[in-house]
Amino acid sequence: MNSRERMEAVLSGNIPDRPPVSMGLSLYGAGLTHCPLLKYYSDPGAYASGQDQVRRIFQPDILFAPFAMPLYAQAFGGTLRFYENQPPNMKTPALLLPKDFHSLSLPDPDTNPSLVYIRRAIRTMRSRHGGEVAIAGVGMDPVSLPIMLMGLDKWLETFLFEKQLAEDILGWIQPFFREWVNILFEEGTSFVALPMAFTTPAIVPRKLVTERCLPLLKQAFEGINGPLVLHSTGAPFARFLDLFAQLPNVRGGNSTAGIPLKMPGKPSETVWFSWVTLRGRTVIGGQWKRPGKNAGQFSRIEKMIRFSSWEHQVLIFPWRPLLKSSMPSDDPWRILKNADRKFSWGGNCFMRCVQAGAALPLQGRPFVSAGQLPSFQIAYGSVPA
Amino acid sequence: MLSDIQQQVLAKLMEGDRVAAIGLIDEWALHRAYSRAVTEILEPVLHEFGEQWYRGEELSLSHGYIAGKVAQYLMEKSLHEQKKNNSAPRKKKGVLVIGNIEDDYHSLGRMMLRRFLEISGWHVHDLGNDVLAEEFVDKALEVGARVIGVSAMMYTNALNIRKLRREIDGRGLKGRLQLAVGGAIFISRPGLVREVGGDGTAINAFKSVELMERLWHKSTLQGELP
Repeated sequence: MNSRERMEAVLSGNIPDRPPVSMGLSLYGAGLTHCPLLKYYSDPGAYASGQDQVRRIFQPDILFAPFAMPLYAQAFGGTLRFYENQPPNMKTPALLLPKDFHSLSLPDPDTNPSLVYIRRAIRTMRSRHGGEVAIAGVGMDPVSLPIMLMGLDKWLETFLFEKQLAEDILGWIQPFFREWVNILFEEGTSFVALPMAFTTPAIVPRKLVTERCLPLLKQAFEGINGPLVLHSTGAPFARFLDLFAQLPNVRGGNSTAGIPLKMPGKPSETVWFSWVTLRGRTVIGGQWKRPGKNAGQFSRIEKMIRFSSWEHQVLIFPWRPLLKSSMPSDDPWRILKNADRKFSWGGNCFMRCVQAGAALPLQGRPFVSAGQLPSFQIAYGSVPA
Repeated sequence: MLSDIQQQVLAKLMEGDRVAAIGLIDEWALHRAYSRAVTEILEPVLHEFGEQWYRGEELSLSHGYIAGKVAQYLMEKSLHEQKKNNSAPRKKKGVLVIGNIEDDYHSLGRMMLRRFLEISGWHVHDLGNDVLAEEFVDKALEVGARVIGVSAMMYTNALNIRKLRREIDGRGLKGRLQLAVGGAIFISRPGLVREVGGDGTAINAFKSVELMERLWHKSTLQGELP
């Protein structure tokens, strides 16, 4: 099996020869090609060259399309702030007043520069690697997309306190979501990752998700022509997984908190992404406020882990040390430390996992120094370009 | 121990039911006064709400927004009542300057902070997103703020707070002008407070009210601002 076949086997519920392994290396390609990020996120050729290097060095089973949600803000008419060492952020949104959404046009995927950039980047990656490597598209679910129109604060305010306006905006934006995600499949992605930036337990209570988001997500996902993988965006996600698992075309989800790989009660073909997994055990990563704080969550996770099976997992390692990206969940050292803090076996399990994962896709290339935890970042960061 | 009405309002907030929470307060204030509702319902309920959030119980940003909206409604009612009765308005605790540090555009946390600081009696100057170090200090000196509250979500942006630390110290204001730092990244990286030179942080907008009071008091012990 090559990487694409391996990933597609998992997505279709079949057993691959081994679990696919990848890393979050969308941004990292810029570091490998020394490409300024303004160019990297606007020139499809520059992005694809970065991913060429990612593949050459790391040989992951999955390559990611540009993973920068603010590109959608730009597509709607917002402006971005570019940095030297992290993906762009939305500087000014297209909408200052949510009620003015009627004055905007939905971006045209054939002419809008941001969308054309994403399409061409995927097309180039597909032409160079698509037969051999799975390419992940990156979209945004329709309930979270309005964040890119007006910012999270205004969207939350609108969603909570102006129900009719919120529904009008969601009704307006949904056709764009469906058209765009289907275009990503037409361009050659094996699956589309959807960062659920709004519908997370950190932002919206379960009752509102059930009553107001799920019906809309169900309707939107029904028209999609390929597998969707939900992405946690770094926020806690486990409490809503049972809701999302029932949505059409959803084949998995990741969680930076290392939450379950597979849902109880969900058919066996479901694949759940996790940062770090090994033989049904999950090392807990992500954000920790203080030791012992999330004891209930741990117990829930441990119960759910028993449902997961090695064959149906995909390993995605967080990784951005050279560029020092700043989302807490992207810090492997912190994940390691926090895992150790809670489980005595955590550090060892993580290391075994990294070694196991590394040995497979990297064909023996030195990945980390066994047992040398402090050298983890150094060893990983020093892989020759 | 919360009273019956306090428990009922808290329960509605936990359900995310703003209309029901306001209905309960309106009914209670009908035979009393909104100004009493502020001290006898709002303050204890918000305190308990903040404690539950702090303990990591299943509360979301929406809960915080809804609680803020209810509090804002009650403060407006109380203010209207004071004007109608010609009674003296609540005395302000002091002046604060807040903003997102240079390069940071994540305003949601700052906006919640502003709402809860204002509700608790602070006069807040909100400088918005992407604020330079010298702008923070200039404004603080202009309005007599003893505490600057600076927010950042991303690690790389949070490092820009070091410039603000240098600006405060460089002008000889260390101690007299306190630096409160906050944002998601400070929760996941507690050591970052020291790394950027912060004088303190709070885990959420509710707890930030206590932090500001503490830092303000600390500042007064260090002498007058220029």
